[in-house]
Amino acid sequence: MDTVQVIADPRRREILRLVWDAERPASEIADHFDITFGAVSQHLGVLRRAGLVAVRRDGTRRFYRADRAALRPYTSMLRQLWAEQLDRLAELAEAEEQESR
Amino acid sequence: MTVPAEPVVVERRINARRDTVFSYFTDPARWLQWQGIDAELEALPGGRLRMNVRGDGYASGTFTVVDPPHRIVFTWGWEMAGNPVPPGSSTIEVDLIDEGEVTLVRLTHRDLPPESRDLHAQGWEHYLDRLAARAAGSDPGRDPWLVDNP
Repeated sequence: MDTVQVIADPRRREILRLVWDAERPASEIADHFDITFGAVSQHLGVLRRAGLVAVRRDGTRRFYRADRAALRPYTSMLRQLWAEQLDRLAELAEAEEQESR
Repeated sequence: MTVPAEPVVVERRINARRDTVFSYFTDPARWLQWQGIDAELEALPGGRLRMNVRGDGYASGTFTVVDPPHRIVFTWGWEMAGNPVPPGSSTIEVDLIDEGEVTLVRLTHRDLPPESRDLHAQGWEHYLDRLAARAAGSDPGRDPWLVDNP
């Protein structure tokens, strides 16, 4: 898979956002999603095989972080896509807030 | 066989006349002012279109309708191995609607697989902003989506 295809998936983009500034264990990443741990694991595998995240093992736990050097050519695209994703989330949250009033 | 996603529809009102806007889809030098770094295009029915969009691979297709200054239709796909949108698999229709001094551009991208819809929708939002700036006479600047070191 080419890099753009890997980051075309909104969940994989969200994973990259989570591990952009901080290394996180797989379990913590999975907690952010409403999909199964197995599905999150598959996305992590795709990101790892594409060389976009680095993995560190500590006992049975695996820690992931974004490989920013590998992602550098795509950084401005990612930032724009993240911003739009956050805008959409904000709209949804506002709509929910208004409904509950 | 995957069921194609709903078409992506992106609209922009551009402060330029229709024939001006149309030329940004038919003249390779003009197209490159809003999208891509290398383009060959032969804007005639049956003519080819091939473009390095972000610097990391080529998209290509064939024009099927070229009706100045109303409508242009071409197939679209990515040449990179394993891409879910291979050349010929999806279709882009561009309709230009005359609103006096302003042109409404409606781009409809059909037959994308569901996993590719989101990125193409955001891509056309991004690129039609650049087209709108350029066709109205300003400089959209370097495309931030261009990769620096493919």
